[in-house]
Amino acid sequence: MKKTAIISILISLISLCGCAGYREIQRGYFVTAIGFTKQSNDFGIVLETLSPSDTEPSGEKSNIISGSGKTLDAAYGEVNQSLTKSLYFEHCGAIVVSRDFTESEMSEIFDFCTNLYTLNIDAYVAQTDDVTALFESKTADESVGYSIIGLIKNAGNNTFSNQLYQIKRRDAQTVLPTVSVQNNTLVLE
Amino acid sequence: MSGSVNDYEKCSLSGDLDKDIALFKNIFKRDAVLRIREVSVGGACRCCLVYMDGMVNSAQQGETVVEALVEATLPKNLQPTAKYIAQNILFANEVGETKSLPDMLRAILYGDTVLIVDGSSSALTVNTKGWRTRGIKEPDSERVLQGPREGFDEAAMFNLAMIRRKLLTPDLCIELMRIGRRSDTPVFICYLGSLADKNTLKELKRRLAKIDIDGILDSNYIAENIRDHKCGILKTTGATERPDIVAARLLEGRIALVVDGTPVVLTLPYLFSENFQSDEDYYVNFTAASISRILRYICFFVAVSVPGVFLALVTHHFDLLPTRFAISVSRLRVGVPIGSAVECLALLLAFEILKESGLRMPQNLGHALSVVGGLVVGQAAVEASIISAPMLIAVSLSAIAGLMVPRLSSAVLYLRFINVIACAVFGLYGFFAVSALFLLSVFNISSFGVDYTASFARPDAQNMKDIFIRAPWPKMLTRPRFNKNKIRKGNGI
Repeated sequence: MKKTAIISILISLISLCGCAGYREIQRGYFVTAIGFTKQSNDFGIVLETLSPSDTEPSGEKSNIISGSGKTLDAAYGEVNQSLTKSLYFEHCGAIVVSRDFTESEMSEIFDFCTNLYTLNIDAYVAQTDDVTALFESKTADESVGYSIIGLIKNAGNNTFSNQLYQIKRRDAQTVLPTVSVQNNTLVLE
Repeated sequence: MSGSVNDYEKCSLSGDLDKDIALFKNIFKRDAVLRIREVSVGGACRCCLVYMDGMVNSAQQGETVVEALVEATLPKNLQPTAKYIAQNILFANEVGETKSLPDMLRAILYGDTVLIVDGSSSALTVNTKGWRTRGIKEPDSERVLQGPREGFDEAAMFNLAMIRRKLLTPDLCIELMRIGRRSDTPVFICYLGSLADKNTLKELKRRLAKIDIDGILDSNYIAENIRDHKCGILKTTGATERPDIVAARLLEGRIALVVDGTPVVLTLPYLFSENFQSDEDYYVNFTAASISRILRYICFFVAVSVPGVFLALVTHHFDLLPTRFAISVSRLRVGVPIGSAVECLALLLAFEILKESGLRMPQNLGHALSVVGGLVVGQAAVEASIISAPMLIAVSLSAIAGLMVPRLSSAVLYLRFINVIACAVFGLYGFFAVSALFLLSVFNISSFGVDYTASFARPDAQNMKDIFIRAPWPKMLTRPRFNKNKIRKGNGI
């Protein structure tokens, strides 16, 4: 009787949790970089996603998706509205923020990123003057996200997790590396 | 009446031949193959032969019994008894005298001839067994490239002879038990008296005596009745069709059960590490054998885990996949109408169906089936986007790896499905939970009082010599850990 009860409870537990976190890999876009911009009083979000290439059988292509709104959530909502698939942030390699954000706005951005629960916390954080221009630049590596990783991975510990750690400790924030586009090439300033 | 020969324990021969013939006719009144032949001994004394047609060697019976009886010359005024006939008239090699009716019935049913003598309350049992046997062939399921190629057949006596031929020692003990209320199947317990553990032997006999079943048609009937954990997925008794394996097991202090009517001999106790040992390991160079054995361990892990882990990665943990690989999997899954979990379960089920139908098919059709099932249907299904290629690869890899450990086939089957379900629900956490539970259960079970994982208990060099690798024979100094008589060489017995 006791055995039956334990087995029943275990089976119920399995069925009640309803495959939490189950996702189909083909029903989403892999985000490789997130950009945050400021447009007058609005927030803007620019995402670079990778998806299978239509032309090359084994290649991939990058797409730029953007949205804006009064808040970051509103901007993210607009991005989502334009998509037919979910966004997977596990492979996000870079978070790029516009230079003109104030300290409180930066905190807001970090809060927002923390709430993207699948976000790769080892993504590198960088700043730039023009996020949209950076994302739309054509680089040799095809993906802007991975080009940024290649550029700044040796320029100090600028990962998202480290930045969060410093915010929690209320340390003086480190200066983020600045990335810019010169002649269609990403450059670390 | 239970239908057993023991029902006739209280009956005996009367000494009046006509009444005794009537008794046998009555017992076998619905048996059309019973033969009763009256013979006169030297023209002076009546007797009769009772036997089963088709089970006796007619030529041998004619020469050693009938001819001897008919041509016998008796001294004047002598009324021959059964004992006198056995000692002075019959030519047969093996003649026994019995007063027990169940023993006579057993002899008749086992292919012997019972000779009833008028005026005698005892009868003679003459060994005239002559039923056909399959003969010595290499077992299909245990083929080797190098080493002995003989296998058991269905006659227990021949099987015992094959074991004895390997172990020419009076230390080899063979005890008889009869199991099965109606089949009364002879079961022989074989062991080396100086090596087998007395407690294990006692426990085995206790469990055998407890079996209450109509009939034993195969050794698995016994294996399932005497196993320690009745519903476990791991077997705790070994099974083999090869006399060399049985002899090797006996030399390690194990006990063998030879069941009449089946070529499969049980050996016990059985340890987890035996699942990864192959007959051929001991007949080829130890380096090659060791590599094969390590491969078997790896293949067991691959067979059990690959479908589940792959499913967990593509449904829960994309972050653990390289980006390009994730995109590649994503591309190949576009257009597949069913979810990854259902796809994985369906593929595993399809593989089991293919395997099962391949086993039941005539051998020459089996290859065609594997080509049609594996290649044509598989490729067509991928091209039609019914299934995705990566999942097909994962399941196929698991299926191929599973064939490397045939002794764990049922455990692999169950664990594979359980892992897939756990991984679909909990991701890799499910996989680790199932693995932990499996390891707990493996370390928790025993085989006839011996820990199932006794071989892993103390990882010293001698204990590990035949577990993950097969050490060279000169280095194999001790018997397995469960045997109290450990020393195999030198001053040991």
